[in-house]
Formats: sequence, structure tokens, C-alpha cells
Amino acid sequence: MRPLLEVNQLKIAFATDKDEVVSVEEVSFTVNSGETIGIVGESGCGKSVTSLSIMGLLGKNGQIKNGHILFGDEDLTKVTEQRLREIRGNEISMIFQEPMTSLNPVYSIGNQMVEGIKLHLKMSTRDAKEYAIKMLDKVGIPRAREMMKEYPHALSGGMRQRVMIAMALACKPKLLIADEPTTALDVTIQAQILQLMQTLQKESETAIMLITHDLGVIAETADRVIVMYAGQVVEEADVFTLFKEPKHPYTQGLLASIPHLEYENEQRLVSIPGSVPSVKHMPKGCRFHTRCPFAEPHCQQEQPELASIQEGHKVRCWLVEKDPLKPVVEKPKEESVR
Amino acid sequence: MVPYIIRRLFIAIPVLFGVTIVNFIIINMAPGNPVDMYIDPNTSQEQLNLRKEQLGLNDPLWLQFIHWLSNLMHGNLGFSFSTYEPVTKIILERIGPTFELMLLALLVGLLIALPIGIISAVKQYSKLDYFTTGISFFGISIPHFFLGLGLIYFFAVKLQILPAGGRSTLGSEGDFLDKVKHLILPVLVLAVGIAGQYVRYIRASLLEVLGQDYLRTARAKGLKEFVVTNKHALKNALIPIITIIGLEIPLLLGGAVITEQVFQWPGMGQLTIQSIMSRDYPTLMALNLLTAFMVLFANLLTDIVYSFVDPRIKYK
Repeated sequence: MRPLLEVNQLKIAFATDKDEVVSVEEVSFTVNSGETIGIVGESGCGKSVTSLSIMGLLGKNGQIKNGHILFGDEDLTKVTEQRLREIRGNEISMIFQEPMTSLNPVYSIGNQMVEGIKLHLKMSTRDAKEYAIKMLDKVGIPRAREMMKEYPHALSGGMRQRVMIAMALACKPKLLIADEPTTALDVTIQAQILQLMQTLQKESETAIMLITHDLGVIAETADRVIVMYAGQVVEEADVFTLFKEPKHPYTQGLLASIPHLEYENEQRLVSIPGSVPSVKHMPKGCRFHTRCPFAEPHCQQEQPELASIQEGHKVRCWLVEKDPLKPVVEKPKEESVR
Repeated sequence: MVPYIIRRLFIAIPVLFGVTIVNFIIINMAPGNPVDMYIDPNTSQEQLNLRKEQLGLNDPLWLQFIHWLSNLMHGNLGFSFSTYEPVTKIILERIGPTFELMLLALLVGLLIALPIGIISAVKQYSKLDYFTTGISFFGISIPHFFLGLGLIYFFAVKLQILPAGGRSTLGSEGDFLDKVKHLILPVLVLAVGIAGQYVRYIRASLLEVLGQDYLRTARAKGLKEFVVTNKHALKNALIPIITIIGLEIPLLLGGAVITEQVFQWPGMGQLTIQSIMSRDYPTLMALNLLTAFMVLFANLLTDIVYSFVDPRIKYK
């Protein structure tokens, strides 16, 4: 079966005052109908930029330099702005990180809901209102009819995110991009929102692209995971394989740095040494070699390819290339303070 | 809302009282007095003193103020020292022409500024943006008297298609077209200055809003860029603009001193100049009181309009 979305060798650059900065390079992945794919990585690794490029919302400075984004039969990098607008909010929807600022403060919830519904579903204002109330009801907003008249400031963060989800799912999109949908919410609300997204997904067969830096969220919801580092995909696997047998040293580092309840009090939390290289000074060779505990001279010279080591498991690392069967599971030494 | 407005109006009373005291003192501190200003220099000292006595100018200042205040309480603004007409009548004659001129100028100025401000914000740092910001700078900096005289020279003297001044041609007072013709030049002069300022305000305010998250949401809905800018961004950008327009409202009645002078417009600006020149204390006091009232009223109006534009603002 053809995947719903196929991102192929995507390269995105942003124009600055003087030159161009490449923020995403060689990003490839696919999303199938109805599945949830998680994209993880630190801040600035290109997760959000990748998702915005699918929506065609990079802004005037961002530009897709290379690669294709195939959605159904169409290449989203080539279609007209007019067609992109038809797709946005209709076939592909997006919810954002900041529910507090993602709704327009001077228009009522109803006004903002009805807008998209009227545009894509070609309903009359009256029908669109009824439909919007139904959607709000569905995402668990109490007194949905009265809420239509409320303004965003009267709602809590969790409620606003529910409104955003109602808005995004109103036109039954084939793909929902959720860019850190729970990051700004407190933990109990996080769980509710994730659950809500999963329930609605089951009803509508919507594929979800979940962007987050929270591995807990990934473990909870994703079917497949893509790990990004410094603008590249470094590992891709189904969620069980990734958590059980991470191959890339970066993924291993990420997993090792999750705090565990059963840790001793004095035990230091593991962290990956160093910091993410800046987009302007990308290291030669493997981009992770400056922070990698297993780096070899070869890693500094040449960039590894994203290679498939098993069915559905891809890794961008020389270590795996050399000896595909030897698992690199040794975690960095956990040191204690005393 | 209503109790809030009533409370604000009550707060206005002591403010107005304070303003009138300060004004009274300042006006009386100005050198010269009404009698010196308008009586033939050959008049004898005794006659001048007599006149001063009649006008109550020899009383101590505080007594003069009390007189003025008690007259005000009876709804009497007094008589002009120079024309002996009731001040109320003089002001009522002038307020109409000024209001008509200033309101039109403000509307025309905003109508010019709104699209230009929006375009130059949306196309920030483009050639068009540089061009419009340049033009608006020209609009702000050109002096009204200069632009006024230039326009009079061109349209009234050279082309002879528009009148050089006044509010109507003698003998055709009721003619609507004649009125419009008289309005064009002064409105244009004032509108150029207003538009120049507001292009800048609107551009700056819109630029601040254009980076907001909710515009990304609006775009992600598939809305056209036109709707994103003019519905979602503009309403937010207009909130600070309302404050600035609010500051402009007192001028609607205060008039434009220089422009009215250049075009011989029989308005409040001219009246103010004339009253200052002739040290016409009662008229000046009335004009000041009116301005102070308008400032307070405009502030209140601004706050009320806020609550309609911005749902986050509620008054109790």
C-alpha cells in the first residue's frame, strides 16, 4: 500500500541577512494512514521546521531547497498556493505547542471554529455552528453551546488545546500534525489530551505525526519513532524496537537520560555531554561525533548514510554499518556524585 | 459598564476644577490685560481704570475666579471682553465649522493611512515599504502653513478651481457643492499630516502582531493571506491605534490653529488665537474648560471602545 505521506531527502534553508542557513537536511520518512508516528529530538533539531514545511508554512524566509513531500499523488513542494490552502486545515491539520497564544484573543471560539468549517466543508453559517458545537462536545468541552461565545482568555490551557484539536479535526483530515501538543500543559492534562487524540484517531482513521521531545509521550502513543539530530534523521524504528534496542549512540543517550523513579538518591542523572552544534557550524562527518562516546577517526571524516539494518529499522551510524549484528547497547557509565 | 461610566464622570469633576484653577492663574499671568489690548492708545488713564473696574479686573484674583465659577454654576460662561457677545454664542458659532473640518480630516487621513500602513507592514523591507515610509515621513514633516500656502497657490491662484479660503462663497451659503469645494484644501492639508503619522503607527502595530502564533493557526486553517491579515491580524493591531485616535478627539473641537488661520476657516483655532491676542479672559477660560472636558471625555470613550474591541477588557 502506498504511504499517506512520503518525505524524501528534504532539505530546508532559511535566508538570513547575509547568507543562508540550512536547518534540515536529508530528512526522509513515511507516514501510513491511521498510524501514529513520533518525531523526537532536542530543541532546534528541525522537528518543527519539517512539520511546517509539510503545511507549506515556512514563512517568507524559509525555503525547501531539495527533496519531495508526497501527499497522496501530489508533491506538496510543487503544488500551487491555492491548492495548498485547500489542503491546509482540510486534509492536513496542525495543532501547536502553545495553546495560550495559538487562538486569536479578539475573536470568539465559535467564530474561529466556524471559519475553517465554512471554508472547507462549504456549510452555511448555521450548519457550521451546529457542527462546531458537535465537535467541541466531542473533544470534551463542557457546555459547548455557551463556549462558542466565549473568548480564548476565559479558557484554561487544556481547554484551549481541546478547542485547537476540535478545530484541527473538524474537517476530518487524513493527517494531523501535532507539534508538541502537550508540552505547555501540566501532566494530568497532558495525559487527557493524548488520550483524546488517540480516541479521535481511532474513530476517524487519521494519521498523526506527533512531534515532541518527551520520550514518555512517544512511548505512550507512537507506533513508529523517528529520532532527529541536528537537522537529520538518525534513527527510525517501531516504538518497541527503539526503546528495547536503540542502535544510534544519540538515541541511547536520550533513553539513558530519562529520570527513573527507582534511581538512588545520590545518583546523577545521565546526560549527553556537549551541546547541539549550531546550524552555521555543522561538524564534518557524522554530526554527532563531537558528543559521541564511541566516535572513531572515521566518524570525523565521512557522513554515514541512513541505512536499514532490519525490516523497518534504520540507523545513521558507522558503528552499525561496520558490524550490523553486534548490538551497541552499552549505556554510558552512570557515575555517582560520591 | 454604566456604573463604571458614572463613576468616571464623577472623578472628572475635581480634575476639571483643578484644570480651571491652573488655567485661570496662567491666563492672568500673561502680560497686559484686556483693556490695554483693545482700547485706543489715546484713551486717558481714568477711562481705562473705569473700564477695568466695570469688568471686575481690579478685584483680587481669587475673587475674580469665584465670580467666574459661580457664573459657570449658573450655566453662564460670561461675555467676551472684546465683542461683548455671550461666550456661549461665540463658541457655538465656531464649533460646527471646526468639527466638520477636523472630523473629515481625521476620516480622510485614516482612510489613506490604513491600506498604506497594512501594505508596508506586510511587505516589510520591500521597495514599496521604503517608498511608503518615505512618503509618510514627508507627510509628518511638512509644515501645515507651507503645504497650505502651496496648495492655495497651485489650486486657487494658478488653476483657479478651488477657493483660497473661507467656508463658503458670499451669497451661496446653502450650496452644498460650494461647501465641499471650500473644504477640500484644508481637509487635504490636515489629512496629509494625520495620514503620515498613522501609516507609521499602523505599520508598527501590525508588525508586532504579524509574528503571533494565532496567525500561524489561521494560516494552518487554510485561510487566504488577505483574511489572515485583515481579519486576524488587523483587529489585534488596531487596539493600540485606538488609544492614539482617542488622543486626537479633543482636537476635533479644539481645531487646527495654523490651518484655520491659513484658510481663514471660522473655527475654534482661529477663535483661540484671537482671544489670546485680545486677552479675552472669559472666552479663553471657556475654551480651556471645553478642551479639558474633551480630553477627559475622549479618554473615557477610548476605554469604552477598548472593551468592544478587546474581549479581555471588562469594566465593572
